[in-house]
Amino acid sequence: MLRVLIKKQIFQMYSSFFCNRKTGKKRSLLSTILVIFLYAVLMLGCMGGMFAYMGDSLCIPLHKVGMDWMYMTIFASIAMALGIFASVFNTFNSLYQAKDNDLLLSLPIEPKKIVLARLSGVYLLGTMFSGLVMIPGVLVYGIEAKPGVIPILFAIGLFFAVSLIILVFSCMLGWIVAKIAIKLKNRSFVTVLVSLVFIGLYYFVYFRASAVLNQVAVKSVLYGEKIKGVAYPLYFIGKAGVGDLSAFLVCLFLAVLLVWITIVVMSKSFLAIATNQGGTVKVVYKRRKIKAKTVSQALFVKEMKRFTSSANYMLNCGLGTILILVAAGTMLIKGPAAMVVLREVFQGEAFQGEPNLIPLLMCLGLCSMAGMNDITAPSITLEGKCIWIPQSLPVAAWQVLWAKLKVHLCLTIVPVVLCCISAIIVVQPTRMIAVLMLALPVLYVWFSACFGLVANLLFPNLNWTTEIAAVKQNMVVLLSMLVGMLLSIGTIILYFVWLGEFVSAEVYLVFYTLLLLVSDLGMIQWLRTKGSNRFKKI
Amino acid sequence: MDAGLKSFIGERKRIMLVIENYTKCYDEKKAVDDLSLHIKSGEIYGFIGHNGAGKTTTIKACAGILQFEQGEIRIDGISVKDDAISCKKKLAYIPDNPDLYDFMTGIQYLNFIGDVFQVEPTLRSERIHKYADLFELTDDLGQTISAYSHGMKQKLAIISAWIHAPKLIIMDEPFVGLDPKASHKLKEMMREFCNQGGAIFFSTHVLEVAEKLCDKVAIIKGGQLVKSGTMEEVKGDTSLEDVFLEMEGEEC
Repeated sequence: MLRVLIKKQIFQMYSSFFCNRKTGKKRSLLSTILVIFLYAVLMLGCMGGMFAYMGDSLCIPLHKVGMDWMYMTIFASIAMALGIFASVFNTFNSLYQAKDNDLLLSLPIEPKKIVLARLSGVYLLGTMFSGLVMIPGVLVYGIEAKPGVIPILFAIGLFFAVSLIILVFSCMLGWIVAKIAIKLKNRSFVTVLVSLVFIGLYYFVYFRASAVLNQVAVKSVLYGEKIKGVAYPLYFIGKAGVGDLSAFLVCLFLAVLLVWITIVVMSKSFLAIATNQGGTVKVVYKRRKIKAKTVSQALFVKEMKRFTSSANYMLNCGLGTILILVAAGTMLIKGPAAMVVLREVFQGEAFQGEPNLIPLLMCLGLCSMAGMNDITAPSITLEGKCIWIPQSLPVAAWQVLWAKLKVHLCLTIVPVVLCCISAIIVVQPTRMIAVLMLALPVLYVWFSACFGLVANLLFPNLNWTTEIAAVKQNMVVLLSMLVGMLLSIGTIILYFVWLGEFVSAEVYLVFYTLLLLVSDLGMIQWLRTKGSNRFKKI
Repeated sequence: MDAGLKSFIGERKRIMLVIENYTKCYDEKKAVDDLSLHIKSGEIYGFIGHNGAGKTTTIKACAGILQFEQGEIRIDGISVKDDAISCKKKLAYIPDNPDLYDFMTGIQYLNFIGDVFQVEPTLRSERIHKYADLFELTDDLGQTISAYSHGMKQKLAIISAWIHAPKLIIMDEPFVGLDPKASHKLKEMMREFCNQGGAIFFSTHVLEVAEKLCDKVAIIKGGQLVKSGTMEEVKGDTSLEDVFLEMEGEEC
């Protein structure tokens, strides 16, 4: 029974690996392997590369002073932080809010087995995120420190032990979130607020990470002693990863024990939490005067309500809005001081006095932040079983699609324009460049909105059991983010590595703006015609 | 009486729904094969058949949410293929499972439907409260739909179909999930709607309801229409259940 449940859970989470969503047909073994391989390459290539770079700067300095354990402690700690942060809401959703909870509970299955099956999904997700840190970390360690086979095997073992610890903490936090959530009235906004605090902390640590790691590399012995004194378990984890058998066994034993306790506690509380309808405080309707809206207003308000009613949707697809607003404010305050440094770096001899490098960097940097908003990417998928409503109403498919685009555009273009104005005030460019600094990010926002919608129309999946699967485990969302990064950061790299030799930054900006304009117009035309027909047939 | 309905009382017996040679295939398999039906204003038309017979496939095509290649469907003289939006303005559709927007409250959903159909606010308010009171749902209109039971969602879907005073109502298993009192109210509403010149086309497995409520009935089997006409023509001296089971090849 447990095997069947786990198989179902994994298939549900990663159905796109096993099934072609377009045709609904099962993929061949070769196709499945290829899709999983591509996914792993994409994830490891994008995020893993960053951690490999970090490992490269830490490994040798720590290895030279015999502090290999600290290298493992650092990587295991980052892996745990990333894994817990990424899977805590997944735990809450997949455990307590799965749409098939009622169905499974009605079957002759022990709740403990349902919990175990659900946790297998949480474990896999946690393992995936910890792997993004640990795999490059262990690889770099193996190549640069050359510790031999045994320590590497211990490091791999530590990776799996870390995944178990992630599972335990994700469950604990998920359980706390569930307990709080059933008492909250405005659940979505409170969740978003708490998450924003976490994200703020995350960025605070992230921006200080480079300085901290440099310090660690230089004063490794001093920090090593501090860790041993204050956080002995972290020292133990580090030792376990470099071949200390007793430390490894203790770590593994404690991890397995904690997982067992977690499963017991969660199994006991699962039924009560999963079937609790709390949080829906009875609101008695009072008759009020109705204000009529136009059709397009009604569709827009509906889309906006969907966005603001879901913490998952807001956090995963709309975080860029807040980041851009913060960037706009920061730019006005810190911009003049930053400009002095930027002018020294980018208008010096190294860049042949190119005057428009800074506007180019600012434009594409802003685009990369705007690319974090991918509100349209899961918008068709989120219609789910309610797709019959827009399809049966007397509205053109384009009106429905346009409403989805409008939400993305409104929530992204307004902060982007504010940030552009801040940038123009700080940079004080020529009129031509100022126009480009405004036009390019706005066209980029149009691009990402249209691209997300086009991709979701091509690959919709209306059969999801948890909202988090529609938003977070959605290949279209990942694809939109990757394309967004490619078109912002990739474009900067392309200019600095190659095209900068042939064209000026101004020409590059003009060319890129025109390219975006043409792409936007092409996608809008597709959405109005073929995309609309596709929507009718979903 | 609603102004919208008053205007077509004089148009009784107008053909509201025409299905001509409708055929729908999924890959190689024919789900519905050469089906033809006419439904006039004032008629309650029942559509019965076993599971997978093609009822929902036909109903969805009539509601304009399923594309088809062969045949023709016209709502009040307008082709669904040529002008789906004009057709949808004249009809209301209730699916077999009332999946509604969970993130909206009941009143927000009704107002959303009212806005899309451009129902004048005063008239909309009157209709919402008339039908919500009838189904004893008024107090719950401020709740989010996610907190509704299946029956409450079904009631809300029914109210949303009635608030824009359509000319044709298409329903797929409308009585599923309703309590006996609500079922009774719905039957009354259906009769009242048709008496005022509207037309109703609905599928059901509850043959007793179909027998008592419908003016006409069509039986579909394996995608093909096997019998249709007035209730008397279809069942004669026996019951609808006997006729249906006979069609299905069962011994009574």
